[in-house]
Amino acid sequence: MSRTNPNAIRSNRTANFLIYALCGIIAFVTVYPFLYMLSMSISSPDEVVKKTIVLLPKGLSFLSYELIVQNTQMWRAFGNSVLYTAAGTLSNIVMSLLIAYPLAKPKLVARRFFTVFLIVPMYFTGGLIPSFILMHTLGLYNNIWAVIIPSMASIWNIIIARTFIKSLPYSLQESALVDGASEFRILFQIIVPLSKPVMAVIGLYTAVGIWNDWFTALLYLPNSNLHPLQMFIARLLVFNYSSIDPGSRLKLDSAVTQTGVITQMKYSVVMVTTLPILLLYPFLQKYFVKGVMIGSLKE
Amino acid sequence: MEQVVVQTKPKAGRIRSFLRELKRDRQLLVLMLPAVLHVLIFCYIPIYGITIAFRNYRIGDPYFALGAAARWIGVQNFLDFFKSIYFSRLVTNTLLLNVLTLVFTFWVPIAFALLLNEIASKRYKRVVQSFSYLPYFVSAVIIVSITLNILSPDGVINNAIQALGGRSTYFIGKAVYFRPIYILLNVWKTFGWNAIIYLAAIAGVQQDLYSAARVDGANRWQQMSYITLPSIMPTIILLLILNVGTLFASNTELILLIANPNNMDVSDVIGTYVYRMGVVEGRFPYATAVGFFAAVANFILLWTVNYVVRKKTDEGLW
Repeated sequence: MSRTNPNAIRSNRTANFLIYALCGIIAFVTVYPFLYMLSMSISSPDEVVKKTIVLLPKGLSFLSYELIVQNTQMWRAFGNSVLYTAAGTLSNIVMSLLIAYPLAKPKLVARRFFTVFLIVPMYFTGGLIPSFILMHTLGLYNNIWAVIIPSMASIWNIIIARTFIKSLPYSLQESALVDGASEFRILFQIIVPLSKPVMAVIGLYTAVGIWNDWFTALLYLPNSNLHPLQMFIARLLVFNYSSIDPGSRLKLDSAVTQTGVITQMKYSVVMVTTLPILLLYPFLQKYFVKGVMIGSLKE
Repeated sequence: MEQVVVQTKPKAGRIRSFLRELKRDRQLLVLMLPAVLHVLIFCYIPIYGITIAFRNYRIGDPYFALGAAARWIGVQNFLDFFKSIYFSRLVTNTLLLNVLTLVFTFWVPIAFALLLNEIASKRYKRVVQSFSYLPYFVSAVIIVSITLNILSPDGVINNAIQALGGRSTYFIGKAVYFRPIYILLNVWKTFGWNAIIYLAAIAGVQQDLYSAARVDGANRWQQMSYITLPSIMPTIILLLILNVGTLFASNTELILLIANPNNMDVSDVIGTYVYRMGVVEGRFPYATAVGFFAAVANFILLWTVNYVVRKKTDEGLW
């Protein structure tokens, strides 16, 4: 038996050590780029120019953040992102619950039709160009609604909400119906208070999706005043279409410091954009995993 | 049961009972209306919009058109695409990129889940797993920005190469590095997230199988390869089928961020070509046809793989 064999125990120890070490390396590799970005953004500008930063910050300077915070372009993009995310997420939660509640009823009229109606687009979509022309036809081109309206509902969220509501005891609805409550009242007074976890799942899925989206803006928003933060960053750091104005304060510093700070501002913008995601991360983890589990239970 | 009852009713009776149900559920139908309209407009109308591939459509023409007003031109756009010099390059690039990405992104989450499963300390396991899916929540723009930065001529990788006595390489500017960079980004972004589903499957394996195997003297490796892996095989097969059904699709959003004139020969895929032809150049019917071709090819692949797998293993999507 392996338990009594000293060789087996030793090889087990070695295996354990290797497994722990490998997992540690994997965890390090996943967070390293973020750590590097953070270190670059808060180190002293002179160290950035000397390229001495590999892992941890050297020196400490928040100058690039101070300059970023004063940048009106960045704030406009930030505000746009907040607006698009809030509007899209709130309406998505409401629309999902409104349709999920009837769909979760065991005897809804034409429920087989509605099921097929929702499944078909999951397998077959019109594709990029038909949607693009549709948005033009609807007059949404170069209009903030081009970002908001399409994100107001999604089939995946509808199915997650329906699966969740279906799992609630039906007797709650039944007794309310017997008491003569309207469907509207049952939904808002009984179902909605019980559906907070699924609302969190849907809300976080949608919010992260909208916050991270830059492609919709590329397709429909040629006006850079309407750009969300991700598009602002894509133009600034990926396509180099635009540069960031460091403001007048920097003129007081040495040329080396100036170069360093201008480099650091790129890292700071990235940190500012990622910060909401990092702050929400504990919730994201909890509710996203929950979402995967509910989603994989669908019939 | 229910169906049988319905079928034996006369037609008029069926309509009448349908109308009665309609009236009974009128409040529910009102609640459903906004989302139904949304799906109808933003999912179904674009499906109808595929007809543009068969029309001589110009911007400003009506979206819905029937008969001669639609100016039907048949499959001309498809023929143009098949005969175009880009056709073979696009199909090769798309398939090669996706197959290579699948080869690397597919086994990593499985291996990672099996590895995590061997960790006894619950806390260490949780910490590693928490880190592993952080990149999944970070946007493509940010990830590409960081990558461009790290790989730039004065980035951290090139600094390390120079410190070791090597010569600095302009990774982003060379076509040969496009595929490795794209694949690495995908592995890094998705492995932790994709491992969740396997970890859930592993958690569902009956524990007495392991104790029985231990009594028989099976070591850890044997327990993993004879119990854990076979137990999660249905999940693996299901995900493999779903993945094969996307081999003609393109992650246009991500590729557009990494693509540049230097790597165009390998980075130009069907998705980016549709974007360029349609959105940039305004050749809407042609671009719609190219997109539709990819969708049909995906569907055929999905169906075929599902058919083959079901014949061989009895597992499948449908």
